[in-house]
Amino acid sequence: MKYRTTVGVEIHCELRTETKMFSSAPVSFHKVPNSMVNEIDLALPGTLPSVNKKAVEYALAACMALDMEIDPVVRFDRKNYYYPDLPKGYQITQQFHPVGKNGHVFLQIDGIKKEIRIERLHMEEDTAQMFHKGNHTYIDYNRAGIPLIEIVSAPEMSSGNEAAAYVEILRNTLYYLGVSDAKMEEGSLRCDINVSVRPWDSEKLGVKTEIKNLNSISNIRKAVDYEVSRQIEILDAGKEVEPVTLRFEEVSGKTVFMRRKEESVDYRYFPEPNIPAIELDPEWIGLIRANLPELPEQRRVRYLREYGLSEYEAGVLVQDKELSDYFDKMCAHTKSYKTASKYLLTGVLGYMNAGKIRPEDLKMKPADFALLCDAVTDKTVYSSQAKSILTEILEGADAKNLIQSANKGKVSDIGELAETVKQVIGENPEAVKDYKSGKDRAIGYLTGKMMKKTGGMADPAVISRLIKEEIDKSEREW
Amino acid sequence: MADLTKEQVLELAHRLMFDLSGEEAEQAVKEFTELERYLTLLRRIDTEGVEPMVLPFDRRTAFLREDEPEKPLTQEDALSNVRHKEDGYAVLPRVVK
Repeated sequence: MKYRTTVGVEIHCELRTETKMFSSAPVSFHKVPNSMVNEIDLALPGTLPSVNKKAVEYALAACMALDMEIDPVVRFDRKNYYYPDLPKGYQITQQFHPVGKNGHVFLQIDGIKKEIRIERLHMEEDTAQMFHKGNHTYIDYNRAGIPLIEIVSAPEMSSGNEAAAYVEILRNTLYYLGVSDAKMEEGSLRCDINVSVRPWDSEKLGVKTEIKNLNSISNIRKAVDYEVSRQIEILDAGKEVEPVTLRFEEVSGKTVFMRRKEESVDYRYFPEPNIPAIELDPEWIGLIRANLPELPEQRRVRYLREYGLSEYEAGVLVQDKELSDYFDKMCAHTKSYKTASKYLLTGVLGYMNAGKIRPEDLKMKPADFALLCDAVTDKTVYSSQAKSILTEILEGADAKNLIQSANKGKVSDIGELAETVKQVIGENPEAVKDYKSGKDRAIGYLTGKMMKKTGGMADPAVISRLIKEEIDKSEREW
Repeated sequence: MADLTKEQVLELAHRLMFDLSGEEAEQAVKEFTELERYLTLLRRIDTEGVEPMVLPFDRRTAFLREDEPEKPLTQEDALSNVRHKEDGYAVLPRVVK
């Protein structure tokens, strides 16, 4: 039977504030356990929450970036449940009046654009961190109360690939906004995914399962794909999918049973009595909107339209904010955008990957790199020379001097080159024969030999022209 | 409304994770019944067309706290009510299987 898949995604994202959602205790990671908490985080008697202005600002910015309707009255609710990671016995969240509603993003997969609607975005607080060892559970309350936003998509994705693309767009957007470091591997962006499968012609959604805490984009893809095939196998066998919570096991690439979904838990939600409704100043909202930074999609379009980059180039650059920030800094110094992106995405990216260097840590100044790109574009240096210059400026050498001396050392005297061409042809009769019998790539081989002889100081295009001319000439003489 | 039973009180106490003796449960039933008698008086009030209120004073504020950190508790103070601690963690019986 043919099936179709429905996927919905919930994202929890920690906001990059200095203090917690409802207290002035500092937010910081990897610190001594239970050293970043105050009386409010521990729910000591007599304490009252107060709402972090920056967290609200970040939540609003996220709503704007996702094109959501904003509720200008901020209200919180209580979600009651008893668990040691929650000292109050309840979590303060926004159940009834989320700050944002009805947004959307566009996925771009294989050139096809697909809209995914976002149902809601609300603010809440993170829980304490627990780990389990032997017969004990260890609790660190440092994370308790860190501001979170939860973003819930409509169930509109239909594959692991789409779910991965969706999370990637959201992660990038939140990162560009500067509201979160959005690191999945460190848990500052966590996602839970609902998956269901139904016969192609069925109107009713199938029974869904939930995959918890996926920690990378590629695991999202793998987990959803595996879960879809698991559910199809069950349906094909005439059985029913059970509504369970699963986790993804990285080693086996499988989703494994975590717990049965209890008949829906009653969280006894009610409006949080300790926080009155907060009316947001429309002027402040306007200010946040006016100061939104450039978002990944806007940057991508700018690269395509203004810089004439390819979809591929723009895509790779935008995916890494720091890399494209570096590219933008270069472009302030050069108009050779295509050359700049070509060199950045080949030589420089290769260098960075090999040495595990981040763009912001490059020794090469964007202006120096720009100078080199200009020199290549106007042929002050040949591309063959550019490579070795790039290697040196990547290590922090001054581009100007290198370009000048490369320009001086260039062999552009055709007469001088013609001599070397004759030499190379004489030394490589086999390649000449190959070329004569129609193998054009022999010219490349001979050009390479020439480049070696001239130490890269000649224009490869001129050389291959000279080689061809020389062989053709000798043929006529025959 | 049906009268609250002793069994219901014990069940509630259990859900809230504390124990009640049978005597205490009976006392609770008595007090609750009395309370309920008062509360039924409220039903006489006509609330037709009146919006429910969440807070006694339905006044909105504009207050938001600036994001400026203050000194947290010391680890020692933070854990001062914790019975079992180890390496700065609060320790309890394992909560997951």
